[in-house]
This record gives sequence, C-alpha cells and structure tokens, in this order.
Amino acid sequence: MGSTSSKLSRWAYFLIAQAVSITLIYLLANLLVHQPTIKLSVNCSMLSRDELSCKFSCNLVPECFGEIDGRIVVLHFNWVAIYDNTTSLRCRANNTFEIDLPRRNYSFKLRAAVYGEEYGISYTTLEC
Amino acid sequence: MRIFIYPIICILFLLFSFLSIQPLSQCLGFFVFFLLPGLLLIQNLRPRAGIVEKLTYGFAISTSISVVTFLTLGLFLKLSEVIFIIPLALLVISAPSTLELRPLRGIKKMRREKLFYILMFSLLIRTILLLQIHTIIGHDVGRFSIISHTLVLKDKITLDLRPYDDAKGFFYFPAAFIIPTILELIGFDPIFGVTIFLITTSIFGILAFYLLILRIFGKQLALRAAFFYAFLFDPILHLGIFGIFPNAMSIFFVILSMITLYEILNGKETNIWISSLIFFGIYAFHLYPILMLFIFTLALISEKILLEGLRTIKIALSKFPTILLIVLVLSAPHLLLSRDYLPISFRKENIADLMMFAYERINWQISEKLLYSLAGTPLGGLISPLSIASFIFLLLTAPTLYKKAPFLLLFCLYAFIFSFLVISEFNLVRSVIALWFIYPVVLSLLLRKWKANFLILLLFFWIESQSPLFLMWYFWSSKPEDVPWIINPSFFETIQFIKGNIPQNSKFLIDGGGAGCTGATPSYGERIFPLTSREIFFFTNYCWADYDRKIYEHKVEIYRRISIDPDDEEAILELKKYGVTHIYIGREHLALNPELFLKSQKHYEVIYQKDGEYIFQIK
Repeated sequence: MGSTSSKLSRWAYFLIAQAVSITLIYLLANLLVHQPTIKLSVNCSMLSRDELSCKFSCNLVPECFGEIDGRIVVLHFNWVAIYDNTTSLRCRANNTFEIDLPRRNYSFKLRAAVYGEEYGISYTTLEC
Repeated sequence: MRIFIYPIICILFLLFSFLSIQPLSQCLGFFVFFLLPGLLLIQNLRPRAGIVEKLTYGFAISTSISVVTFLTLGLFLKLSEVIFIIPLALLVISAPSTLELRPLRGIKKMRREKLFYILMFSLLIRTILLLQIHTIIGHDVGRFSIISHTLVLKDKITLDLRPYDDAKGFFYFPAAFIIPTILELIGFDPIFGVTIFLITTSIFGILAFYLLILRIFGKQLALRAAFFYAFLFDPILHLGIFGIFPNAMSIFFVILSMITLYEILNGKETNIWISSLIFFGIYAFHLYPILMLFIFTLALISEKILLEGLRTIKIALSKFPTILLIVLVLSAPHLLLSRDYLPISFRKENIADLMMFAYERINWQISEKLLYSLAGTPLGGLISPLSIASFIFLLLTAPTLYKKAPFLLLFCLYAFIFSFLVISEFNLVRSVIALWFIYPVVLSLLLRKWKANFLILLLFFWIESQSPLFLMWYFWSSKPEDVPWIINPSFFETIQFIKGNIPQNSKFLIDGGGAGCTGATPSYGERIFPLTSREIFFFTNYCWADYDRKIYEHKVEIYRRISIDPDDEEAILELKKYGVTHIYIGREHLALNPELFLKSQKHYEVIYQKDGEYIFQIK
C-alpha cells in the first residue's frame, strides 16, 4: 500500500512538474517574443524613372492614436540599407515619403515599423 | 615518460612570438591559450579522467580562463603586454606541477577506437569545407574582427570603437571579440584565426556530445550517436560556418553544461570550479543557447520527480547557488565594463528592427510553424528531409527512449513547444536545433550497422539538408545567386593588393553596408579593415551598440546618392570630409555600379580591376 501511495504521489508531482514546466516555457517565450499588433499599411508608387534612378512616393498609415515613432528602411541584397529614415508618424493619417533609388533591375525591399507601447510592421517591394 | 612539456611549450611560444616566427608562434600560442590552462586544472582536479574528457574539458576550460584573464588584465595593462604575461604566468604555474606527459597517455589506445576514425573523418570533411570557403562566411566574423582589430590597434580593452567604427560603446558577449583579439596577437589574421577556432570547437563539440550520450546510454550507442551528430547534425559547424560563430561556440559549452546538470541531478560527483567555468563559457559566447539548457533542466527535473520524488532534486539543486556565484564573479569585469550599454538591445526601435527582418515568419500559418519547429534549419528557411526522417525515427523509438532515458522524450516535447512559440522571433528561430541533439540518438538506436551507416552518409551529399556533406556538395556544384555565399579567391588577391599598394592612412567606401541589427555587408568589404588596417567608411547600427543615429542615416544617404550617381558633387564632397580616399566594389556588385565609376574619369581613377573586383581612387 505504502509503495502504491508513494508511486501515486510521484505521478502527482510529475504531473504538477509538467504543468509548471510548460507554463514556464510559455511565459519565457512570451517574454522573448514581441508580436506586431498595430496595423500599418504601406503603399508605394513610382513617380518617375530615368537612366540612373527611380523616384517613388510611399505612403504610410499606422492604425494608432496620436503620434508614433517609425522607421522606414529600403534594403538591397536582403540586409543592406540604401535608405533608412527614423521619424515620427501621425496615426490614422497619410505620411508620405519620396525615395530615390538607383536603377539596377532589382526588387528593393521596403520594410517599415512603428513602435511605442505596441508594434506594427509592414513590407513591400520597389522595382527599379 | 616525464618531461617538462608545458613549460617548454610556454618558453618556445614566447621565443617564437618575440622573433615573429610563424606559424610556430600561432600553433604554440593556440595550445598555450586554448588547451594548456585547462589541462593543468583538469589534471589537478580530475586526475583520473580519460583522454577524451581531459582534452574536451581542457579546451573548454582554457577558453573560459583565457577570455576572463585576458579581459580583466586588459583593463589595466596594454594588450601587447597581456599576451606575454599570461604565458609567463602559465610557465611559472606549470613548471612544478606537470612534469609528466600525462595528457598524451591514452592517445595510442584511442587510435584503435572507432571514435578516433570518426574524429579523423570529421576533421577531413571540415578541412575540405575550409578549403572551399577559405574563411567563415556571413557577417558576424567581420563585425567582431572590426572590434578585435580596433582593440589591437588601440592596445587596450575599450568599448569606444571610434574612429575605426562609429560605436561609442557596446554590449556584446566578451568571447566574441576577445577570442579574435587573442588570435590576432598570437599571429593569426583574426578572421582566419576564428575560422580555425570554429573548426576546433566543432571537433571538440563532437567529443562533448559523445561524452554526454556516453553517460546516458553507454559506449556503443554514444559512438554511433557521435557519428550521426558529426556528419549530419553538427549545430556548431552549421551555425558557425554561416557566420553566427559566437552562438555556435556557446552551444559547445551548453553540451558540456548538459553533462554537468545530468551528473548533478543523478547525484554524481562534480567539481564546482570546472562546472562554473563551463557555465561561464555560455555567457562568454552567447546567451541564446542557454534556453536549450533551461529546457533540458526542466526535462531532467521532471524525470527525477517521477523516479525519485522531490528529495533528490532539493539536494542536487543546492549546488547551484555556488556555481552561479562563481559565474557571476567571472562575468563581473565584463558586466561592470559594459553595463551602461546592456539596455540598448531592449530599446523599442531595436526590437522593431528585428521584427522587420522576421516579417515573413511572423505571418506564417500554424501548420508552417509546426513543420518548421520539427524539421526546420535555423538559417536559410529549409525544411530538412533529414530532420523529417529523424522525427519519424523518434516516434518509432519513443518506447525505447521512455525505458532508457524518459527525460529525453520530455526534452523533445519541451523543445518542440518552445520552438513553436518563438519561431517568429528573428534570432530565436535558432532554437530548432535543440532537436538536433536527439535526432542522432534516435538514428543510432535504429541504425546499428557501421558499414551500412557509412553508405547512408553518401546519400547526404545530394539530399538538401543541414549535413556538412551536403554543404560540401553545394559549394562545389553550384554558384549561389542573390547572396554571395562564398568568398572568392579574388577577394584575397584584392586584400594583398591593398596591403602592398595603398597607403596605410587610406579610407575605403565599401559596396554594401549593414542595416540595423543584422549589420551584414555582402561585399565582405568590411573585412578590409581587420585584414589590412585601412579604415572603411562603413555604416552600421547594430542593435547592441551605441551609435549616433543621425550620423548613421547621413552615411546611408551619402551611399545612396553615390550609388545613383557617382558624379554627385555634393556626395563626393561629403565623402572627402569623412576622409574617404578609395572605393571598393567586390565581385558581387550590390549598390555601387563599377560601370558608372569607370565612366566618371573626372572624379575616379581605377587602380585595381581583376576578376570583377574594383578599387577606385577618388581624385
């Protein structure tokens, strides 16, 4: 009887340990991972193009309240910045930027983020 | 046989270094800094340890001791003095205590064992890979060797990297820049030195993994698991070769820490000092892999609770406060030095920066996340057929694992849950490699015939997977587009040209530049500085360093304007203000177009042009 109850208590401890372990893992993951919750829309259109460059107009609309910090980065070859601008953006309004890029027959990646209490990110490509 | 082997090596190293006789000073220096202190300690603390254990722990402990000693002494003394003081101290310490050729005992015996052949074959594979890629690829080795070369030029430990880099200070794990600094001071170029160090760590990693499985399952299974680990799953080589070397090397210490935890929780004798130095190694290189160790600990504790109740856990855990205290003391010099810069990584703009780079993953469906957590690779976004097959094997061998080591099943479960939860975070996707510690074990439970296993390996030259065998085939057979994965020999010819023909006080605008936390420069132009000491006009804003954001954005702006029109007078004037004298464009042309520079004879003169590499002098 004693051994059975000891086994049972071990299983009970084990199940508690599982609950604790998985909760700890969940809490740790939540602490480490940030999810974007602000909707951020980005629309770009080409204004002009010549032998050397393309000019784009990009419009950012973050769905937040008041003003929020934002960053617009244009990358080429995955990681390399060719345009990087940190600025304050008006929420629920058009924030327009003009961007000149070199002509390379390449899809430049525009990545934008806003950050305050919450985060928002967006992404588009610019062909030039 | 008793000889004064250690003091003799110290004396020879000091002599060859003084006379700048290479590669003898490099080889002996590597031994003095990365093997000798650990061997001395382990011989005194664990005299009965076998040769595999002595060498593996010797390397790990030496690395930790060298990092902490070099950093601490470097705060007070010139680095050019510290590099001689440490061997002198070792000479004094080793003279009376190690008159015997003990560490080499057992090597003869080892030569008859399968482990020896696994190691030799692993070394061969890694040497071929090294010949193919020349040095570690990717960008981390570039940015950390910029830091280490700055320290060498300034001859002191400092976090202010100006004028060689724009960072006013930074927080990064100390070994990432101390190891290349030591390597450079003993005669290596820092990038090739780190590459050799990575391959050494990968080889010792195989031994560490063998020792871990040996303790859990015994020798035969440990040998087979080491075999599969070395040729199919090695996470140290996989991460390191693509540039994430601090994280990779930290994994080596995580494996050894797993052994320590396994021993502690099984009531076996462990030495507090050795354990502390091993745990310090994780902090010294990178903290991300400690998450795997955390999961491993939870699994082990759960198993112990199931088998033995709570009492054993209490006794085992009583050792941890002492270990943590020693680790804290060892970390103190670095923490005190860089504490002001620690919060930079947690700034909102830097968190947003990493999120931008993980854009695709954040939008993954649940099914994609599930599959990737089980069979993904941390780099390149590959779903590996090797991992899928191994997962099926895991399901088949689950009953055996439950009987022999139930905590490994729990580890799989926890690792899978954790990977699934963190997969959308840019850097934590590396957590998928936790299962790479289990997959070799399950393969070795089912595949027991050595000859057949060697034949199976042949398949992995062609099957796209994380195996180093596939990497060999890949580098040999294809020319990857988009990202310049391989550093062409032409790059090294350019470096030789710069060393021989371009004045020391020159400054290069390089094609490509780092954006945010990833900070990569695919032209590899940032390596010009650590390899030639010529400064580079480089824009970075790593999310762990203190940069003036306006200067960074201004530099990107100049780069963009020059990339559109090399004749942009205003931009050229700005470049000259920054002291830029030359333009470097690598074989993979990124933003700077050499054709435009060749046309512009008014402002530029081409002084080097070979195999697609260009150097222009600004007139």
